[in-house]
Amino acid sequence: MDTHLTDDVVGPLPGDYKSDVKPIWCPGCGDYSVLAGITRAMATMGLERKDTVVVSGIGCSSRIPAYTSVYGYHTVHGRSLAVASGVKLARPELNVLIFGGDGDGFSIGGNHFLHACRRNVDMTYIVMDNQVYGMTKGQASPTTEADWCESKLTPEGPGVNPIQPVALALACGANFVARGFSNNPNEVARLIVEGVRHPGFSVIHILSPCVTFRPEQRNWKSTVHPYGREPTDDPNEAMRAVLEDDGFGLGIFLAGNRRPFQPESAATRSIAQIEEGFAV
Amino acid sequence: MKMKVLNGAANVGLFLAHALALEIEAAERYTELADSMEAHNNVEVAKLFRDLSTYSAKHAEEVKQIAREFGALPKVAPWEFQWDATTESPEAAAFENAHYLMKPHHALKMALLSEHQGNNYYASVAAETKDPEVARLAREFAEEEAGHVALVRKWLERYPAPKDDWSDDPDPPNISD
Ligand SMILES: Cc1ncc(C[n+]2csc(CCOP(=O)(O)OP(=O)(O)O)c2C)c(N)n1
Ligand code: SF4
Ligand SMILES: [Mg+2]
Repeated sequence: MDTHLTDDVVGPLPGDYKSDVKPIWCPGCGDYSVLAGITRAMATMGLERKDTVVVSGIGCSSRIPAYTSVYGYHTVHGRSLAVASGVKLARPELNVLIFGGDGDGFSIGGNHFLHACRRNVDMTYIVMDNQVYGMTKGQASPTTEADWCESKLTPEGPGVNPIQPVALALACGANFVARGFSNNPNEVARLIVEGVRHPGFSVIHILSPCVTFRPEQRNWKSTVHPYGREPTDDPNEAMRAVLEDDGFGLGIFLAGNRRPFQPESAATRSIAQIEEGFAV
Repeated sequence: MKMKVLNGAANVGLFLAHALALEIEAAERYTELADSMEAHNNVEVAKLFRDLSTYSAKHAEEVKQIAREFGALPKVAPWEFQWDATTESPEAAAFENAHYLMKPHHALKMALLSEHQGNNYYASVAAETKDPEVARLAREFAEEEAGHVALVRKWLERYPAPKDDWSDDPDPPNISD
């Protein structure tokens, strides 16, 4: 049964931003709630579907383009930020949102992440962190704890400290940095709205449990806590505070004021001219 | 626990905005859970969630009709709703409580909690609002939810708690030995 309003009683509804493709995530996966947060954010902003692009890499979390009704580009593993930067620089009028996981963003895509933060193109990156490679059946990722022993590949744990995505984003120059938790999709929606509205590169780190390969993450609901400080526009102050955080503080760490990167000159060659160069 | 719902019940427009979000999210959530169970071949639980979504969607339709007659509703951002006791709208079953091997008993327990929360929400609004029209509508909606609670309770009688090993999977997703 249709649960969307077809008339204009309340304007666009989250359901309007869902596609007809049914998610195949494991029941209980945090990514379901993140999707709810995403569509609520889109409805709140009343984004025009024709002007909105979601770009992703590969992984369970990277399946978002299939499940949303805006333009979508499910790219290759680790390359979502490179592709999204191209989209935004070529078509600055579009709303560009990028989705992916901790493996996609910080392993194979790690180098792109550093430079996307540094370059500060006006787009919003939502990383759904479950501290594991979910899609490939449970290997350690760059955010996995050193002593996590549940994968056959690392029976004694990866043995190296996990990276801290929020601290990394701040160190590399992201202009807006926040953390949310999938169990609260309304707060996830708020962070996404704030991130999209804030100029420059926004990084939103979402803790999103993988209930299949990290079932203990179901307990995150009693681990997370409010970050407890007002957002600052000073990256140094944000960094000092983040270094004291335990990785589970939720809120906005930085709403900075760096100018977004946008080349002023128009393209010097048309698509047709570029394609000519590739003709065989 | 007493809910702080007054801001969401200050006038008919605000109340209907809340009621509409509550009903739509409840119906959509049951549908999403049914779809997800279907994808994992848990047919029995999928059917239960599908039935629950049909009931919820009917109520959502009724609230929508009332909202249409009322006219344009105030726009409330997701994080501005005054649910107080729950982070999401009170009748949306929590995604995170689902499991691919869950039994009808678990699904109905989830539904019972959601329907209870929906009922509590409307009952609190009816008790706390100063607006007589809001109180009338809230009482009406609370009654409807009480009907759902009774229905789910009745279904639950047919599905006692399963044995503790209900989540054992002889072919688990992760290689464990
Ligand atoms: C070039 C390349 N290397 C490796 C893979 C295999 N692969 C697919 S998804 C994935 C990891 C995904 O982990 P993450 O980004 O954390 O997503 P999750 O599934 O946990 O949401 C890997 C290594 C691939 N698809 N392409
Ligand atoms: S494997 Fe993990 S991350 Fe992937 S869908 Fe299942 S629970 Fe979610
Ligand atoms: Mg992951």
